[in-house]
Amino acid sequence: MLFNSYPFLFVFLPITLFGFYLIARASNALAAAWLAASSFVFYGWWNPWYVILLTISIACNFAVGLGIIRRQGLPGGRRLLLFGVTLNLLLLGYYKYADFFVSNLNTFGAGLTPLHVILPLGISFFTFTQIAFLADAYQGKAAEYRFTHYCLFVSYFPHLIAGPILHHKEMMPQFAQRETYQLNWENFAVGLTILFIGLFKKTVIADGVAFYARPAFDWVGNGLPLSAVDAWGGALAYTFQIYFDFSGYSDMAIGLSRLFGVRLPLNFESPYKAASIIDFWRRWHMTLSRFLRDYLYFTLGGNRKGVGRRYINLMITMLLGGLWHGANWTFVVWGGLHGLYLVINHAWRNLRQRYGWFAEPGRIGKAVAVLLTFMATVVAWVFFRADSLNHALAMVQAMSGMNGVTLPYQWFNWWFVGPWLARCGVHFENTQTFGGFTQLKWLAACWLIAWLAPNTQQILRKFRPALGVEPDQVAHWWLWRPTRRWLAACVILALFAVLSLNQVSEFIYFQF
Amino acid sequence: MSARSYTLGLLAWLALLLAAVAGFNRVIDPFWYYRDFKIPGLNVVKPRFAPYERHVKPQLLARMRPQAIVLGSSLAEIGFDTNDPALTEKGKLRGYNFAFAGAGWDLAQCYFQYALQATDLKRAAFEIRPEAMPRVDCTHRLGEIEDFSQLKFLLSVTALNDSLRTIFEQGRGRSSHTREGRFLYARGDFKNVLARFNEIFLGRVRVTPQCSLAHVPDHPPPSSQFLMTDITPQPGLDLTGLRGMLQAAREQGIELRLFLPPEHALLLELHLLCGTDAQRWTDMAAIARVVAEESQHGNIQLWEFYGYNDWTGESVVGPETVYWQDPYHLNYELGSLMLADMFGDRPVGTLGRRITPANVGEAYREFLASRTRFLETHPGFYSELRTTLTPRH
Repeated sequence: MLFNSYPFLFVFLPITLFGFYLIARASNALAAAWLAASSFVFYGWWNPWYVILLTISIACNFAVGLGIIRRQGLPGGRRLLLFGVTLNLLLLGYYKYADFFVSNLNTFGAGLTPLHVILPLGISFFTFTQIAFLADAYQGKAAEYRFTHYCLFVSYFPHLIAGPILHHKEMMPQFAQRETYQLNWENFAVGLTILFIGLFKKTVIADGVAFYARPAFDWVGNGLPLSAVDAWGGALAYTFQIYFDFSGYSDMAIGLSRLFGVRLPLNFESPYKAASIIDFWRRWHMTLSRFLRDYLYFTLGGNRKGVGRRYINLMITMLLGGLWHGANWTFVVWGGLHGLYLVINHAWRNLRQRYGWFAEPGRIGKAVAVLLTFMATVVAWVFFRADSLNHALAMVQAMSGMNGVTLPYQWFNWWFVGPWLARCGVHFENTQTFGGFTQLKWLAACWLIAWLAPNTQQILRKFRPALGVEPDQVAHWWLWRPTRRWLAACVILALFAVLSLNQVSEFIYFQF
Repeated sequence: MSARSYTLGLLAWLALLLAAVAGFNRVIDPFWYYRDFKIPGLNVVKPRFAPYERHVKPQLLARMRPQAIVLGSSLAEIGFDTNDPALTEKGKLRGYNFAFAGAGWDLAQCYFQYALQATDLKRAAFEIRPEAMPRVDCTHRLGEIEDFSQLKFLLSVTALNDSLRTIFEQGRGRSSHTREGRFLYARGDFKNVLARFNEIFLGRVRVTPQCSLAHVPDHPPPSSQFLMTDITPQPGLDLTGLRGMLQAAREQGIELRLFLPPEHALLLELHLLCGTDAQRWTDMAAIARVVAEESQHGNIQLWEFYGYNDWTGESVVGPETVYWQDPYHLNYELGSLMLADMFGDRPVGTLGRRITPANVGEAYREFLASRTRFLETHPGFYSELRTTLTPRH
């Protein structure tokens, strides 16, 4: 089931919510069990068989975790931890990477038959969540371990499919709190507002701009050369699509969870406002960055073993982080590119420290840094989105202008600019995939929102919308409060978000 | 405002507005799906049916359960009035135009399969092209039917937008289709017929440069120059899909007419000059053989409407063109003559001809003979051809 679907919004959510607070009047433990059971229904909606897989995964990890906790400080604990982590990685490896390895071995003539394993939804998320639990259990950070609560912690539907990746220690206390099970109108008001902002980002903005991303990548995917404007149009559209899609989904998760009185950790903090790649990774998919840092980068030694080793650790972390996103070399290259960006960023910082260049950049310098960071991520997104490395390279080649620059022929009549551009070698004819002014308007709107507008958490800061977001004293006109004005704004957002859930696709056939 | 009033207000207003949008779309009915409210000045004219016909037409077909249908591409969709007495046996059968703009063989084949399941079909006219007609797996091919949901028509921004457009266009617009599914396209736009010929011919020149103005001789070459001594069916032509379709039609006792539609004489001439004509006759011979093998008691027939005559040779330079909207898209006046040929009792031979494996060669010779006769009586034909091939600025 998807958050952005009628069955979820109008059937599943109201029933689950109503049942939760009704049962909570009698028993908190039963209400938690109801929420866990509802989460299993939510998961099984897609494929009931994979509920069994999820159940087995939860039961095994809980048992191993319990074993680790009981052997705290004993040598058996470490062995159990290794066993548990290996089990999780094997599960993930089988379902997510088996066919990837088979196809790679087959390129060397292995002649293996692909397994055609269907990837269970959210397996990367619930596996990582549980690996983190095992590690926390080993380090003595996982204290509360009731089975119902553990089940809920892993299967909790707001985060099950696409995160955020949760820490045991930040969720279990909330499940144990009495206040969580008491109807709280502030939670409802805040939760619904965040939910509808997220839904709007997903169904109106992300799906709207996706209309311009797909044709460019499909064009290149069909082996056809693309001109620079078409390629940049597609790459930028995808850059905004993935941000509004994923951050919208994360907002929905945070909002939904708040309806049940539970705060989730923040996952996005205006990443395209980042002035460096280091800063970008503190703002993009923050719970994954946290996981990779705490359980991979630090385990590899982090920055404790010298500068060279630090860069190697960074590269390994980002390459594996890339692979976590999907079983394709394009994701590995995407991770590798970000690893490289991070290495360069850290090296530059070291250089500045060594030579004492401590002056903070001015406004223009900061704007240039933001733009540079943004462009670096755009190029990396091309690899993330493309079907294969060849198609990604073809796209980058087009973006670099190697296939020429073509603008819509209608633009030739721009004052003196059109003819001047034509003299500079720009062609004016029918563009292949670029949507002209309409696409420019979409991109500009996305840009303005991503760069200038406050994000969801900033808007709702006064009401502590997510874990780690604390209210401050700074007053802004756009800070959310339960007022008539905000009610009107939220109704409009919600209306258009719901009306965009389901679109009738227009058949466009220009030439009979 | 308390958090409680905010929450309840938000949910109440949202529910109210969603209900209002659904009600509004239901009444305006921009996609002409419900067809129960008809309010002059508000929703009588349906200009927004065309882009969504792939969603709506299959549902209407299932609801109306017509017994006589027309299938094919935009040509069939524009060119056939399904109230025609020849098709409906003088009104005894319910007719519906189930052709779709942009539908090639693969989609038309799937729509035929759908029609077999959704209706009590008695007869059908099916537009084909002389080309391969392979079997197509129709599973998940008709996404608009599989994913159909009335929610999209009631609760979507698209529907709301199209409802508003429908209201705004009541005064100056017109419906894109007739009630029975015939596409009006550029119907009534007589002035621009030449422009459309010009645009399509120049597009053709772009992809086949041997069809350009430079290749039009001063005088028409004699028909004997194009004569083929032997029209042998193409051996490798994949007609498995056609065969399957004919078998299904035969099993259900459907009176099926496959037809190769007429083209404007200017386009026919261009085909001859470009050297792309011969292929279609050899393909036609292969199709005729499959039809002969699968037909039973003449219930399934193949018809061709190529030929130079007063209908196909109608002037496009003159003030009003009755039969053509462009070189491919004929008007229903010509479509009615075709239906009369295929289903009625009109003397055969003037416009179309039933094709069997035995008479393909004769039909081709008659086609060339019609050209010779036509050129003799239409001395300005080549000048018209040059006009349609000259870029207009």
